[in-house]
Formats: sequence, C-alpha cells, structure tokens
Amino acid sequence: MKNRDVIDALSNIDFDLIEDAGRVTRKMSMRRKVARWSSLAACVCLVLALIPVLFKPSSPPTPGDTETPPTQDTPPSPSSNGNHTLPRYEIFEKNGEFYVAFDQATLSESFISQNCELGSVTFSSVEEFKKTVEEKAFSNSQLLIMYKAFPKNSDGTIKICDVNNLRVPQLPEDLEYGGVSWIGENYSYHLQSSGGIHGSFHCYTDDVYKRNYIEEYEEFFSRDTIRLKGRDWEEERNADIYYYSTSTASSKRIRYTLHNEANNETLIIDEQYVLSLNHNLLPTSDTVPLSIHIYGGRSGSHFVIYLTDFTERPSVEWLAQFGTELYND
Amino acid sequence: MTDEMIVELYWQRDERAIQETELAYGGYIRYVAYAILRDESDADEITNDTYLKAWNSIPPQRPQPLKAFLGRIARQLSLNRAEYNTAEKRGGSQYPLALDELLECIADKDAAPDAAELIALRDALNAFLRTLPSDARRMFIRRYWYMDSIADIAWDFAASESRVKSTLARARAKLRKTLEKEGFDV
Repeated sequence: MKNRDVIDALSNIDFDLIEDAGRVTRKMSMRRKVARWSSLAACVCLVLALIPVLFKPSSPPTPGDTETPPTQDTPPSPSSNGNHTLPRYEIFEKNGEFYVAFDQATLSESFISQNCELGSVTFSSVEEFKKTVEEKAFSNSQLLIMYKAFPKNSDGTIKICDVNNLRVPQLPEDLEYGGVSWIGENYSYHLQSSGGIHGSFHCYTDDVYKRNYIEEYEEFFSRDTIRLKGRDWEEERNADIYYYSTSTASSKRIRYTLHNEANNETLIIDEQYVLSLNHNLLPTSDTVPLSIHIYGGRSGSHFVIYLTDFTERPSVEWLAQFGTELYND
Repeated sequence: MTDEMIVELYWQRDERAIQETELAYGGYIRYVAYAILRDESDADEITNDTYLKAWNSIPPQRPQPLKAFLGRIARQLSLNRAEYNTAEKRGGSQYPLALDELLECIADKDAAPDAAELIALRDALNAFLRTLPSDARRMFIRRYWYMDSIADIAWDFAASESRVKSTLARARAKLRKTLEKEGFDV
C-alpha cells in the first residue's frame, strides 16, 4: 500500500466529515475563540467572586450561581464502523431462491442512523463475491449497505442473486472487467480498455432488464423533454437514425441489431451522438458516439452494457463480441 | 432543482442535466479542483472533465447526495492532474507536500491494494477521523482532502502555523497507530 492510496481512500470518506471541515472560516473560528475566551473569563470572574463566599463557612451559595460549561462542538454522528451493534441476519432459501433477512429486533438505533452513500457492495473479483455470499462473511459496512440500499420485498427480505449461476462478461480482446458491484438480485462489472474506453456491464434479472429496456430504449422518444425532428436510415449497418432535440442540445441516435455468432444471441445497439449544445460542457460530434448502450441476453441471463470515452466509432465486428457466459470456479 | 430532479435528467439523457449541475455545484467543483491544483486553467479543465465524467457515469449510477459524488470525481481528477504536474515540475499544488507528510503514516510500498483493501482503508479512515477532536479532524481533512496549505488552514482556524503543523503531526502519528492496529501494512 502507498501513501497515495490513503489520499485516494480519503476521497470516499463520509461526506458529512468533508462538508463539516469545508465550512470552517476565519470569521467562524474567531467567533468561537471569542466565545471560548469569554466563557473562560466568566469562569475566572466567577471563581474570584466565590472565593470570599467559599471561605465564609456559614454563608450559603448565591442562588443562580452555576458554572457555565465551555461551548462544545456537536460531535459528528457515529461512524459506520465504530460504536454500533451488528444486527443479526439470516440467509435462507425459499422455493429454490435465496434471501437475506435482518432481525428487526436486533437493529440498533446507531446502526440505522449511520450514513450510507454507497448503493452497492463491491468485490474485487467474482471469486471473492461468490465466496463472501456463500460463507455469509459480510463486513459491518457491507451489511449497512445491504440494509440501507438493497431493494426489499414487502416483508423486508432481500432477494440475492443465484450465486451458483453467476455470469461473467464476454468482451472484445481490448476490454477487460474488474470488480463486481452487487445489489440484491443484480450485479455489474466495471469495464476498461487500454485505449481509454470505459463502461459497465450489468447482469439483470428479467424484470429489471425489461423495465430498463422499456424506459431507456422503447419509450425514449415518448418523453416530454425529447422532440423527435426526423428519421433516416444507414445502409451499412441497416440502422435507423433518429434526430431529436432537447432544450439544450441537438442529438441523434443510431439503432440496429447485431448477431453474436458465438452465443447465437441478438444484441440491440443504441449509439448516442450529441451534435450541438447551447453550452460547451459536453463534447459534440457527428461521427464519434458520446456513449453506446447494448441490450442483450435471454431469459435468466439478460444484460445491459454502457460504454463511453470512444475516440472513433467502433466497428460492428467489435460490438458483436459482447455477451455473457457462466462463471466456472 | 433538487438532486433527484438533476439525476433524473441524467437518466433521461437530457443535456440540461449538465447545466443544472453547473448551476447547483459548479462553484463547489471548481473550488475542489483549484484547492488541489492552484491553477485557474487546470481548475477550469477539471471542472469540465467532472461534468463529462458525471454524464458518463449516470446512468447506471444514482448518486445521493449528488454533491458528494461530484466532489469525489473532481478530487480524483485533480489528484491525477496534480501527479502529472508534479512529474512535469509544474504548478503550485500542495499535493506533493501532503503526499510526503503521509509517508509518516504509510510506507511507499509497491504492492497495489485490491478493492476490498481500499474499502477497508476507507472504513478505517472514517472511524479514525471520528475519534479526533473536532479541530484536529477538520484540519486533517482540510490538509489531505482539500489540499489546503498550512498557511490557509492557519488563517481559517485563527491559529498559528506551528499549531496547525503540530496538530497534523499528532493526527498522522495517531493514524499510523490506527492503521497498524487494523492490520494494514505500514
């Protein structure tokens, strides 16, 4: 581990600590100093005033004479890894599916009140993911994320993915996948390439995939914020081109399907281009996509891929290589 | 506009998301970038890079709070740029000095930590920071998160520079002990 790793890890500390430190100004510090010195001076005056009283054996203390405690900073809320009591939890099977349930009676107030900014539990590899779930060896912070962020059923239980049938990405040669992010039934992989392309590969349940596909793809042009301006067709990829605008930009989407020969599966490709903007905060290009979404898989193995940071439009041969396969440990 | 509304604009791929982000958090992002880089044009570039990275990260993320998410992106991009500037012997960033100070807490070993170790380190840092007295905690974060100079911290805390230095030195010593106790290879 390097000193730079401490600097990097500090990037992810609780945000309330960062905000609290950032608020300090000279004016505030001077006010606190004055208040502290005033309290100290008041205490000294009080003690001096009490000396004759203290050495006068028969005189009772003057009513209202109480010491004013110095001003205290309100301590920040309890840490995510410190004083709370771990709740009891159970992983159980029901109708062939696995669930995790927290024992409500053992949930402490300090555990419930902790900050949680992360929406998923991250593992460095598929092996670690599978092992942790199978051995139920979760850490404090992982349990907190599961409790706070994972989707719950109406009875409070959390459905967990089928860890005995985990899927891993199939990718073009220049892309690789790294850590696994887990959120209940769904999980995803971070993608990156030596050429600078980044992205994420999401293994979704059929329900989540369907919702995502309908909202992001099928009903995209039905949104109030989108004005469809025209359509065209690209012969080379047998693709539909949609020109549309929002209040700040003119954009286009190029949509087509490809066939992954290795898996005998269909991939739905959605290339997104920003053509012009009324600000300069995003790059614009008619030839290089800002991002590409890929929808694929079949029942029980659906996936959605988000890819960004292209320097040129990828070929159909490159795109057709995406898919999933079962993980073999 | 609330964070939820801005994030929803990202999910809808509505480019207004960037403008609303700039309105709500542009000043904060630039402050984080400038604090680390101490160069106007570098800070401007990092600010724009932060918007692009946010655009490319949402979806699939749904950050909450959005300010924390943006601040982290800006910080990470700024640190990468500061590292590059240091190698090129450019800029007046406090980054190389802060990095050197942290050598007291953790040796500069080659073995790169995996994701689980980084998460454990983050948890250890959170717990450690909450054990510090409030001024020490705030000074530590101002120095190693915001990369403020000793002089700027002394000014804001109405304290002498020597008091800031000694507070930070004690905090670093305590951090080292904490990391050793938690089993990190220091």
